[in-house]
Amino acid sequence: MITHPPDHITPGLDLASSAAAEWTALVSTAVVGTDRRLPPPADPGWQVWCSSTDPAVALLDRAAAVVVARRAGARADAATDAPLPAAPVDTRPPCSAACAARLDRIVGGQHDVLLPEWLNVCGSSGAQLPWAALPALLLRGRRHPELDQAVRQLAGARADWLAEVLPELGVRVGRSAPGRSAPGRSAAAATPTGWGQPPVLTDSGAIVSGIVQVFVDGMATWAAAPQLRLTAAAIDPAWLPTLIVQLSRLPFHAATQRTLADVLSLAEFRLAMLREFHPPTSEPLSIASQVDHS
Amino acid sequence: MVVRPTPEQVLLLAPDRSAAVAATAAADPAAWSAAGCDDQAVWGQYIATSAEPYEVAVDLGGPAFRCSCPSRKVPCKHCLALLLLHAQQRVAPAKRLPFAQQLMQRRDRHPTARPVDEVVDLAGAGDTSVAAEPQVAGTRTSSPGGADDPQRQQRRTDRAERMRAGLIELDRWLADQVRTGLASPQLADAATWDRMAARLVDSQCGGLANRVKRVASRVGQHSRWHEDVLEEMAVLHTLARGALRTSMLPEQLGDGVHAATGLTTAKDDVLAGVPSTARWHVVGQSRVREDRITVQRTWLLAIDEHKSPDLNSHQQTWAMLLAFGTFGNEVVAEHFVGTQLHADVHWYPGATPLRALVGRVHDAPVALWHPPVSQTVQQATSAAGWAIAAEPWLERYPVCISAVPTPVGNGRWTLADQTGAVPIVPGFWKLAEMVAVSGGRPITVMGESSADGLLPLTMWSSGQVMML
Repeated sequence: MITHPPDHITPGLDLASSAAAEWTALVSTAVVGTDRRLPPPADPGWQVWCSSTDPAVALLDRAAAVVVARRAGARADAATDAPLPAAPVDTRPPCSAACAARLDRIVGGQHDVLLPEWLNVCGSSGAQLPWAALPALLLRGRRHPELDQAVRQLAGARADWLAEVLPELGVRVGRSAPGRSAPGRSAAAATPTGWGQPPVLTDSGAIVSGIVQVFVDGMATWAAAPQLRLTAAAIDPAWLPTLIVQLSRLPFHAATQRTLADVLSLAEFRLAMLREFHPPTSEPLSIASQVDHS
Repeated sequence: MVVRPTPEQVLLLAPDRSAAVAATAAADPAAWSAAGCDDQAVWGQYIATSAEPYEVAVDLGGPAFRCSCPSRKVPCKHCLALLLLHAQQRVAPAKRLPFAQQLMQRRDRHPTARPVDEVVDLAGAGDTSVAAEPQVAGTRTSSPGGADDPQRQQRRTDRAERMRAGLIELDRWLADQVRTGLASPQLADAATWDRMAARLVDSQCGGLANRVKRVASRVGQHSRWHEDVLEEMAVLHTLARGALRTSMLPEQLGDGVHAATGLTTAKDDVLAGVPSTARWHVVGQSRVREDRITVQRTWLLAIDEHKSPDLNSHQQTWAMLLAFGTFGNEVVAEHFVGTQLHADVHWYPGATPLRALVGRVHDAPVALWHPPVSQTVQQATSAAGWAIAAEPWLERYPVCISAVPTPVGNGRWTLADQTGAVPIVPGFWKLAEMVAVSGGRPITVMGESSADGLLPLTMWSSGQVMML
C-alpha cells in the first residue's frame, strides 16, 4: 500500500499491514481518550518526532504521520479477476448529438407525449439509442409496458445487459418484445411497429381544419388542451407546417391563448424533432400552396 | 557579493542525470536572448524551442530558481543552462529587466537566510494588497512606499495576532478532543464543531473553519466514522502546527499552508507571476454547495508536448479555476467543458500547483470533442499520491483515465483497467448512465479523486462529451 516509504522505515517490512496496525492502535486509544488510556508505544518504523510531551498531542502527531503515509501511498486496488462482460457489439451508428439532446428534453418532461414517436423514428432511421438515456427509459418503462417493449426493442441487447450488471437499477431482465429472436443486431434490424403510439391518422387535413376550428370557436380552453396535444402529436407529419401556419394566424383570444401557445410549441417541437432525423434534402412543399389547398 | 559557482557545482544542482545532460545542451549562447546578471541574480530568455520564450531567472543567493517552462523539475534545465553560462563567464552584467525584477520580487518576500519571528512571517505573507513589494519592514530600501505605512503595518500585525491565536486555540481544542475521547457525546453535537468553526472565522482562518465544518459532517456517517474523524483531525493538527511555523518551512510548502488556512494570495499578485502558456483543454466542471455558497471548480488539462527524456508517457499538467456564487449572484461558467483555450495560466503559490487564474487569452476557445490523452489507473493513483505527499491536506486531485466501470459487489463500483482499479464515490448519482454508455468497454473519464474515491465529472464516448 505504501509506495514512497519514509527513509527510516526498514525495507522488507510489510508497510501496509504495519501502517494498518499502528493506525488501529491509535484509533482505539483516541476513541476512549488519552485521559483513560495511554497510547501504546509506536511500532518499529513509526516513531515520529513529537512536538509535545502531552500524550494527546503526541497521538495527533503520530496519527498525522500514518495518515499521510497511507493517503499518499495508497495504491490502486488490484484489477479485478472477473471483469465485467462487455455488452454485445452494436454496429448501428450513434444518434446525432441534436437527436440525443432532444430525447433528453423529452425524457425530462418536455412534450413527453412525443416519446413513442421519437423511439419509433430513431428505430426506423437505424441509429443507436443514446445510451445515457437508457436507464431513465427503462425505469419509466416499469410502469408502461408498451413503452418498455419499445425501449427494449430499440436498445437491443444492451437493455438486458444493463439490467443484469446493474441490479440496483431495479429493472427486470429479459422482458423483451415477443418474437425477438436473438439479442443485438437482429433486434436492431427488426422493423419497428407502432409501439404504444396511436396509428397515424389518415384524414389529417380534415383534422388540422378541425383543430383550427376549435380555436376559432373559442372552445379550445385549457381543459381541452390534453386532447388537442394528443391530436397534434398524432397527425400526419406532412400536415404539421400547415397546422403551425394556421395556428399562428389566429387572432388573439384570451380564453384560448394558453392552449394555443401549448399546441403550437408541441407542433414546432415535433417538426424540429422529425427534421433532425431526416434533414430535408430538397425544398419541402411550399407551405403557402398547402394553406391554399386547405 | 555572491561567489560564482563553477560549472561542476552547477551540474550538482541538477535533480537528475537527464536534466544535467539537457542543461549542457541548452547552455548555448545562441539559444538565449536578453541574458544578463548582477551580483544577486542572473536572468535570460530561452528562445530555442517554442514561439513563447521561457523567462528564466536564478537568485544566486539561495539559490532559487524561476522559469516559465512547464517542467516540474526544480531546477529545470533552463535554469541550469543559464547558471552554466554564468559560470563560464558568458553572461554580461546588465541592468535588471522587468521580468527578472518580477521574478525576483517573490523571492524577496521570503528571505530564507534571516530568522524571522512568527508574527512577522504570518503578517508578511498574509497581507494581500501589497504583496508584490518587499515585505519585511525596513530591510529593503527599494520598496516603493506603502510598506512602511504604520497603519498598514498595524493591520498586518493585528491580523497575524488573531490568526495565531486562532491556530493555537484550534490545536488545543483538537488535543482536548483526543484527551476526552472521540466517543464522548459532545463530539456528536454539531454545536461543538460549529463553535470551533466560528472561532476560526473570527480569527480569520476561513480555510480552516470550512475544513472543521466538513469534518463535522463526517461524524456518525457510518460505523467507522471515528477513523475518518481522527484522520481529518490529524490533518488539521498538521496544518495548525505548520501555519504557526511557516518561516521554518520550504517556501512553496509555506505558501500551501497559507492557502489552506485561508490566507489567499491577491489576484493581482498571482497574475504578476510567471504564466504557463499552453493549449488548455477544459475537461471538467463541478459545483458543490457549501454553506450557502456555490463553489465551482473548472479543471483545465494541458498535455506536455515537450518530450522529457525520462518520461515515455505524456505528462499531464492541471490547473483548477475556482469561482463562487451566492444566492442572487449565481456562479457563471466562463469556460465550457469540451473546449480548448490557448491562454496563459498563472498558478497560486503552493507545493502542488492546482488552483490558478487565466491571464491573457491568445485565441478564442474552440470546440474539442475528442477525449484528452488519458493515463492508466496506476499512473493516475501515483500522481495523486505524490501530490498528497507534497501537500497532505489536499482534499481532491484531478485524474483523467481510460477505464471500464466494474462492480465489486455490495453495490460498489470501480473504474478498472489492466493496471488496477479506483473506487467510484458511493452514491454517485449518474452511475447507471455511465455504465449504460460504457457497455462494458473502456471510456475516458475525468474526475476528482478524494479520500472517498473518484467523483466522475465528464466522460467521453463515441465522439461525444457528457458532463455527469
